[in-house]
Amino acid sequence: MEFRKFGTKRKKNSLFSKCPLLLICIVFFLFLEAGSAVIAVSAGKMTLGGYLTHHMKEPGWTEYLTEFRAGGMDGLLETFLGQSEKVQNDQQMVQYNTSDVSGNQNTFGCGVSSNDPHKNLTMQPSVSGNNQVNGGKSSGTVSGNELVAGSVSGNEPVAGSVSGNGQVTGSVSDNEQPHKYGVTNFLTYTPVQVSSPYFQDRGKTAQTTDCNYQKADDSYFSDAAFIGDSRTLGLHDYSGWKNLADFYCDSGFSLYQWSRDDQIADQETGKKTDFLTAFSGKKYGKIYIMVGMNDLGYGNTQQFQGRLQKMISELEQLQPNAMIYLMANLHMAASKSNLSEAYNNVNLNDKNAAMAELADGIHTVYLDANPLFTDEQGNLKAELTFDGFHLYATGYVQWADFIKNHTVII
Amino acid sequence: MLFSSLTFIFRFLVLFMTVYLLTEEKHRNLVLLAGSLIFYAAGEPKFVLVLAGSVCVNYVFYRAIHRTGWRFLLVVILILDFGLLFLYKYWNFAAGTVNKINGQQLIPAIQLALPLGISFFTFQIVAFQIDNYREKEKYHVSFLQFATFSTMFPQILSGPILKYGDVSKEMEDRKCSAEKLEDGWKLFAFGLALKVLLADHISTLWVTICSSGMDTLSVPVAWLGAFAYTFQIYFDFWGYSLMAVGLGKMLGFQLPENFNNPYLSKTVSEFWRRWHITLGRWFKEYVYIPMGGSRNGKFKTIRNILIVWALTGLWHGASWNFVLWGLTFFVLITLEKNFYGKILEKNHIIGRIYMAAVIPVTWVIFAISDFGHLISYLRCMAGMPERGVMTDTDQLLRYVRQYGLLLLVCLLFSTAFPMKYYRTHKNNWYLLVILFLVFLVSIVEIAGGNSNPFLYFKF
Repeated sequence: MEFRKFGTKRKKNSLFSKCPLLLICIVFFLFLEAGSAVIAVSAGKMTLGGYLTHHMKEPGWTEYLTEFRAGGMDGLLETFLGQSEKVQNDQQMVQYNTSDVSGNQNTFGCGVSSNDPHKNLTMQPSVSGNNQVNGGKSSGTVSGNELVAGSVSGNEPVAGSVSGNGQVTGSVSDNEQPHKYGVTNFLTYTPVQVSSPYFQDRGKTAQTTDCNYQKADDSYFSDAAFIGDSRTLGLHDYSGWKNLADFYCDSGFSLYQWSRDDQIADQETGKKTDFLTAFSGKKYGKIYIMVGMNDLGYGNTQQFQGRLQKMISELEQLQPNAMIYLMANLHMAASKSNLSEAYNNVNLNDKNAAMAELADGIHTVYLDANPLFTDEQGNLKAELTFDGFHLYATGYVQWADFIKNHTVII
Repeated sequence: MLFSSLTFIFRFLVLFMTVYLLTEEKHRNLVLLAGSLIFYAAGEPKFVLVLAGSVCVNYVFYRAIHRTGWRFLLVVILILDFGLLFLYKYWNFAAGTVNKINGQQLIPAIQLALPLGISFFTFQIVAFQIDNYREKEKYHVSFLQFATFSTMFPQILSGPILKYGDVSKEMEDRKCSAEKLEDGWKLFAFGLALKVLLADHISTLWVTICSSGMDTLSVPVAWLGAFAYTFQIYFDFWGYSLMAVGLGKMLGFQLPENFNNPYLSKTVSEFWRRWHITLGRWFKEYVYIPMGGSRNGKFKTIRNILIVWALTGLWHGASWNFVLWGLTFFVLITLEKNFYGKILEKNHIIGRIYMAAVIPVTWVIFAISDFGHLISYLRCMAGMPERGVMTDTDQLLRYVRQYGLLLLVCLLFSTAFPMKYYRTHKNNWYLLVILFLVFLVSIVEIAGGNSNPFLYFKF
């Protein structure tokens, strides 16, 4: 091949001028592919042969694309730097297990929260007027009360001094038993063998928390908040509560996304807003959470549970008087349930069970409306849905009725 | 394998084109045949054998007819070809209908999966047999050429439906060049974007609206949904057809276009000269004209049009709503021919309004196979929802907010402007940049799992 003499012009019909787009695409994607091969091999994850066999159907850089779509540049960088999701979330899990149990402001039972000590003289067994005992285990002081009548309802035994109080009648050890509204039970079944990084089949289905539920009317929802995805959006549209309750929901909402950007969509304004800001203002009496459908492909069930626990803890802190209703994700139709991928009812059930495990019956209960809409195999009945994932408008009316029939009066 | 998949673009196409371009021209048909069989087998590992068998049987009959000219042989091969199509696609439909009429299970159903592309393949091969019978002198085709013609991957799954004459010269002798590769690739990228960026996204609006209930929609929401589907099916199929033409060009073929700005039509008659052009050509040449066309008096003309449209509808799907869809066109075309067609053609505005009202309704009939749901939806469009309106202005505003921009883009691409602009400027550098970026975005979308399988795939 002869090189052009310096100073002479390039011939007009070079290959590049004839097929520029094709060449640019070839070079660009070849570079991407080579790059991802180099990254994979140099990270020691696999050999070049391993890379080729692993990526026979799709190029290696699709994983990075998926990360980018899910988590933006941050997600992409994390993947590159090897800070895998699993590692990060394992770290977060450790944090949760030793975290404080805060918010002794939740006094359930027939108590009245008031800072006027005299009113509480005759009120048993509640305790009122606690300042927030935040941070650390409540082995510090239950201070700042004038009168502590009855038990200090908190989640941990109160060891150490109960000082600064006028009078402590009743036992402080009553702290160990806060009022429990219900128990969450599980049905067991023979699990299916699955090998998925996203879920397992633990052979258990959660049931609606066993509680003494009351039937409420629509006014119950005037101080309610709903957090969720497109199914909650359906509730917003067809429950009749759109002007009563606050709906923080959006199609595609996932705990995974929330854990990254801490944002939720406010249906009132139609815009995204900061989660902490949204829940630091108005005081809610009840918060309904239904998430998980869009988390099926993000991480495993433990990670999902960790993120949900984080949301619950934050809400308990910001909204100590609210009862939190965890709502089971609606199952999908049989035609959409695909065991070879992340989107199937076994995975969904796993997530629902993990959700129900967090329903302690004290601050949180678990509601499962699936029996209204599913068949014996646990699949959403085909005649109730068009796309296999969402109910028709009339279905949401039924769902709203179910919610009205399962309220916990505090 | 879908054209809009990463496997096809970054694995099959890359490997195939490399081998194809390195091969000497005289052996390229063989490479194309082999590649096409692999392509088909990737999606249909079992049926590819039936495909191969059909090609062989058809070639034997071709040679026999070519030598003897016996009509009887043509009849036999047509029965065999259509019989195969009937078996795979229409048996259960026919059995179900017969059973329903008789009130008992007279005819059992067959558990056979519908092979991809069988409707297109059958029509193409039948066209070849009939063409050969009519004009033997023109059809000296080797087995390799015939097999390649019948199975070549750009068109085997979803057309265009070729006549051998479309590609006869190129089957003998074709050249690839850098310019053709570039041209074809650009067209492919254009078609891919239409499908992945427009069709797949507007389809979620249709699905969302139907998901909220087909018997509780307000009139504007119901019509919005109909328009969403109208755009979806157009960009899906047109995008696919452009990809086919683009791939054909990269191989050295000039495949016929299937779409000519159909939504610019002023009458339904004109629409069907611009939509799925190769299918219209097939029905005209092999059904309408042989039956006499419009030459034997008014009654026979109407009868012929009726048969053509009933069959056109049926070809699109083994379900009564498709037949209803076809018959709707029969009614409209007959009315146009005999009453108001001229008015519409003269007055463009009235014509366009007429089409804007009529076409979405026909697409709704096409889209919903369940008769109960179809009636419900049509009632919503007419303002008589079965269960009262539940999906109303709030949702409408939300949809307009979320999809408004996309709908405007869809409207723009329904005009002649984008394609015209592309054709005049496709060698300019800024169009190159745009296409590259558009291609990148398409790939990102595909990788994000946002692609719906091509709508016409169930054919």
